[in-house]
Amino acid sequence: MKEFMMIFTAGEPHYETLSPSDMQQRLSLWQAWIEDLKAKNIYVDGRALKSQRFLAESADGILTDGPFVEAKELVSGFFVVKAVDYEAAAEISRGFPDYDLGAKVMISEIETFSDYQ
Amino acid sequence: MSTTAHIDKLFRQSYPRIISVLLSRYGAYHLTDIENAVMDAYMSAIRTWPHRGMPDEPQAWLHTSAKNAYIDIQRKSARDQVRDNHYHITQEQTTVNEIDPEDVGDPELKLLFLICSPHLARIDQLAFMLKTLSGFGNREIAQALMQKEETIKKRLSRARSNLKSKQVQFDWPEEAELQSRLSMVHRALYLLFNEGFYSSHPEQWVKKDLCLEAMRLCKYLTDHRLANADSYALMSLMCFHISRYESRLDEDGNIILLSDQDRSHWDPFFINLGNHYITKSASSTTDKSKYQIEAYISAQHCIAPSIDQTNWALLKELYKALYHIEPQDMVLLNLVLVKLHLAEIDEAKALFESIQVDRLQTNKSIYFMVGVELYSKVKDQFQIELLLEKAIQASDSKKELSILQSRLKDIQDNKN
Repeated sequence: MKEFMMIFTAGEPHYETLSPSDMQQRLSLWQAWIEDLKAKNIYVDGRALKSQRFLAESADGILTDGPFVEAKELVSGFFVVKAVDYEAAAEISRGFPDYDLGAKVMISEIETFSDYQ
Repeated sequence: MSTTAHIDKLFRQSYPRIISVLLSRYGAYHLTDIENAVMDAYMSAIRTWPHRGMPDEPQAWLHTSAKNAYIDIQRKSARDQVRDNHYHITQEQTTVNEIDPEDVGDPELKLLFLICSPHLARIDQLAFMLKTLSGFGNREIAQALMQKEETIKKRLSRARSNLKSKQVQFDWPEEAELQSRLSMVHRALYLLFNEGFYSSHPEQWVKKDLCLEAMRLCKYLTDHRLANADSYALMSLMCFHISRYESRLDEDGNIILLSDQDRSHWDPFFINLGNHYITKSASSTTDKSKYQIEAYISAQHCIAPSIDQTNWALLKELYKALYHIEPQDMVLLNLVLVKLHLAEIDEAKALFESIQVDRLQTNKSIYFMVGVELYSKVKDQFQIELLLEKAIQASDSKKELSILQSRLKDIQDNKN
């Protein structure tokens, strides 16, 4: 099994058209998705990121205040999952609940030491 | 999945609480930012809870998260707008337990009073109430009030901008204004309840949801020191009505007349509760208000073991008293039915004929049913046919239309 990182973009949640119940439903979808991956023993890790970004451009310790890309393109979180190949990883990404918000999933295989042995 | 099951309605239920507590802290001027902050908090929950599991106190978590999101939003807009002014908001140290059990219902009630302020158009109040105090989304409000989503959006944004431009304070009205505001609150809750009880919405659960929301909000009131005789009467009225909610509609959602309803399905829990509140109301005043009379009317039906054992003579007096306070055709239609039960056929007929169907905004189908009831008693087939034809012209519901047409066909077939 290889490891893949799935990087999620934030998309554009239009609060005007989303109700608390819609949000609750989305929470259930996320929970169900992760539970499913855990049950299949292919969920390694996952984190969510806050929207504030700081950029360090040199060794002087000075940070510039972000975001630096359009809000909907901001990375909002990531998963690390186990899959045999990109095809299997793509299959996992189908469960991502936020496509309807314009959010996307970027999939990349994680390099491991053993690749070069 | 067990964790998802028991927090099923957490977001919708926590919404009014968080909104009203933040409003009472930061003021009505910031309503839009507060609404966005609460949604931000839900978004944070969506992004973190599935990984980490549920927090021990999800309500408190959401509350703190919404408050932090609000501070973030304020800081951002301060940075964007008043860069030169050294505008500064310090991050407040947030505590987990924001919820003071002593004042449960108090901020919500304050919000209810704010919504019923004369600064907001009456027509916008219901939508706004469902949005902020019931946690409905625009689509749900549109569905419940049978209006276009676009219309709801306009109503809400008009309400928000009125609050802002008129600088309405999130606070109790002045002592002098308190009583009149209280009666506006009563009227709004009454409207909300009726919207659920009498509308011809195809989805029954949608309507019941509105009724239950009106009762939940009314309970904030009856539990509060501000409640008066009308508050209790209104609650009583809603209890009596809701006790027979299911039995007044058939499987297709058509209204079943009182005489045909199965009384064993009326819910004794709500009938008892209705009795409790009407007693409480009666003990705090000697005047008879519209809400009290309506509660008494409803109570008379609820305590009668059958349609024949109903105290129709008392009901006649109650409807007359009600018409005196509120001269509406709907009251007269009910009075026609009461007179029919008292075998005052001629009076009933005269009364029915005095009602102009064109003046009835809604309830045209009730007018029709009362008419058919009346002319069946006097066996006037011609009038029944005429009424059915008029009803068919007036009907805008497909289902109703097909029922009316089949009844008309029955009558015409019988004649031939």
